[in-house]
Amino acid sequence: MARITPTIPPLTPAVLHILLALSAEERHGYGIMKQVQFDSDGKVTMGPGTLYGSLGRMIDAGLIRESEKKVDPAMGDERRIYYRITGAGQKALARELERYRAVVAVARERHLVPKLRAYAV
Amino acid sequence: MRSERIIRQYRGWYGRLLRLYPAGYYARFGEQMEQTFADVLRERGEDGRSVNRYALWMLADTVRGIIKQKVGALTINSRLMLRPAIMTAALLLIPYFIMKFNLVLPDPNRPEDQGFNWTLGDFVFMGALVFTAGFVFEFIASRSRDLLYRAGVALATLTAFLLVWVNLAVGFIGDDNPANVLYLLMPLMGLVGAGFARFKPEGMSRTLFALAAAQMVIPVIAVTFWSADFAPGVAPVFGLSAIFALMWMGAGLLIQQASLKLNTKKGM
Repeated sequence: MARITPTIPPLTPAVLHILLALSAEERHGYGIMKQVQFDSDGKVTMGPGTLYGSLGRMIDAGLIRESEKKVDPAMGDERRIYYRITGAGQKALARELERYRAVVAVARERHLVPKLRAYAV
Repeated sequence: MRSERIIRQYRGWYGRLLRLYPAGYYARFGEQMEQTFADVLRERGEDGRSVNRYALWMLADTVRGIIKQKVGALTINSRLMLRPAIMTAALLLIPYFIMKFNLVLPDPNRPEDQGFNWTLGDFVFMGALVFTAGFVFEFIASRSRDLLYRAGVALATLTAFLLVWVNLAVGFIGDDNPANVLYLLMPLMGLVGAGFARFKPEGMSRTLFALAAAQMVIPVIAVTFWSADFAPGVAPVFGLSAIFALMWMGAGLLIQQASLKLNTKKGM
């Protein structure tokens, strides 16, 4: 009998960008928002409702976890909870980027990609 | 500074809005969300940009988040009741608007015809009947994702609903024939049978076939023991019973197909 490999669904854009934002360093909520906006050239914006809804689901899924609560010197003296990516989150991110790479490779073969940016694969 | 005062005011409103989140969620993220909200507005204010538009956008985004969390926090039982409740309210709007806008007028040739005129009791009765049917469907159908199973449960629920409605509204047989009580007991018997079968397709289909048989046995009992009050007549009563028997059987066949599919999968 043929073995059926279970497919893992793609990450939502919000989850993907949050993982990207946390891939280099741990950040607090506002830091994640700013990084996501920067990484996506302003195309992906999320308010606190969307951001923390996603963070909650990602923590429950084991993709990220809460780190320590500390002060961000650039943001005044309020202590903020930081988030960091987990091993499972890194694997999920790598898998998703590989999925994107494969899609872009097919598009390039068919000459469908007009211009590639700095993250060309 | 003016913008600092406005930001503090918005932060106060936002803090009150956050309390609408489920308690567990608020305890987990409330403080951080309020901080993030204030951070965004402060940055906008420092850049000389208007904070109002951004504040309103984030408030709207958070309202959406609250609705999502509230719906997600509903227990399974609450979800089972929510859809039937919405469906009942929607269906009851139909007779309400018919009455409100006089869409059905009384027949002038029939003095006894009062047109479409439901009392409060009629609305309550129909509401209870529709809600019960919807709840029973949600409760049983949630046990399987199989379309045939769910279609069978839908048909069985509809049959039970119509049986009870017709019986209570005009009576299946005559005006006071005791056989009508037997008809009313049939949906209950069906639920008991389904429960004993633990809502598994095989047992449920057998229950529905038994109901189809019972549907035809009842008029036989009625014509044997209670033939005095047999309006509208033997043929119409048996004919109507046959229609309901076919519906029970149809539901049973659908669920039986679901059972066969399940057995085929297990045999792989």
